[in-house]
Amino acid sequence: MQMRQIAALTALAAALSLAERLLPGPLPWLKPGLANIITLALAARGEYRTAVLVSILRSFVAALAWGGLFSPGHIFSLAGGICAAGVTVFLCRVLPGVISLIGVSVAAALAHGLGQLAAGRLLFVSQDAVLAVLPLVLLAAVATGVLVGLATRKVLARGWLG
Amino acid sequence: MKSRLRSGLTLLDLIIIVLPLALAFMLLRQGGGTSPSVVRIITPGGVWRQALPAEKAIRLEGSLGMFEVHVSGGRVSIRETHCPDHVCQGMGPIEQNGQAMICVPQRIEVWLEGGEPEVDAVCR
Repeated sequence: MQMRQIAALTALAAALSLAERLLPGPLPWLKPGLANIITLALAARGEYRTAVLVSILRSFVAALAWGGLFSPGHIFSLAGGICAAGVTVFLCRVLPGVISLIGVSVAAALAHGLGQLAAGRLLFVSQDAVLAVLPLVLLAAVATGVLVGLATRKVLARGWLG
Repeated sequence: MKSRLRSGLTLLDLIIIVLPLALAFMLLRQGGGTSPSVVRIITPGGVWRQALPAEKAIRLEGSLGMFEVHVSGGRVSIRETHCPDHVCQGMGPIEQNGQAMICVPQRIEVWLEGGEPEVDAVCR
């Protein structure tokens, strides 16, 4: 994939990431993770390197635009993004015959949430706090994972990423 | 280019969906239930405990500046804080045993706990 296509996809992913921060929700830290549509769609098409690259770059672009580069929020986002991209690429590459987009998406959302909790634990958050938040993270990951998986299926079917 | 993955739901998909849900419900069933009797506030400078119910505004110092925990009866919320996104304020109010509000930038945790309070308020 050409550099300008990677730049365009990174910009699109960052825009989705920023847009969902403005969405009202039941919990302030619970977001659908719409930017993962791009990572998931790329990995599902076999563009593994681009998927990981866009996921990492998107985190930096969104943090720069929002004004929180290397803030705790950015570190959470980066840790979650790297874990999610890693799991996405692994499943798409190793187990494509036994898993669908929905399964990969839920697994990626779980990796994203657990990666954020691990980053939180390393930064400051106590083990008790991690355990208190864990069930909500798991429930949210399944819900958002299914949503993102369905959206990615639509994106791929319509050929919106070119 | 089309997706290389299976189009319909597979057994592995179902396992990935059901396992975390089961674990989450198991964890949720373990905690909560009883009424909290103490609010515990962990700050970089120490730990503060306040017996419940109470009517009080507690001002303490976090990593980025002052923050205020508002206690009204058994409900606890963070009213003011000098953190960038105010995510912690959105986590409250809390009122059940085991619930918490956590602010990573301020390095504070506010917990509701059960058990018998030994004193009305203490800081160490």
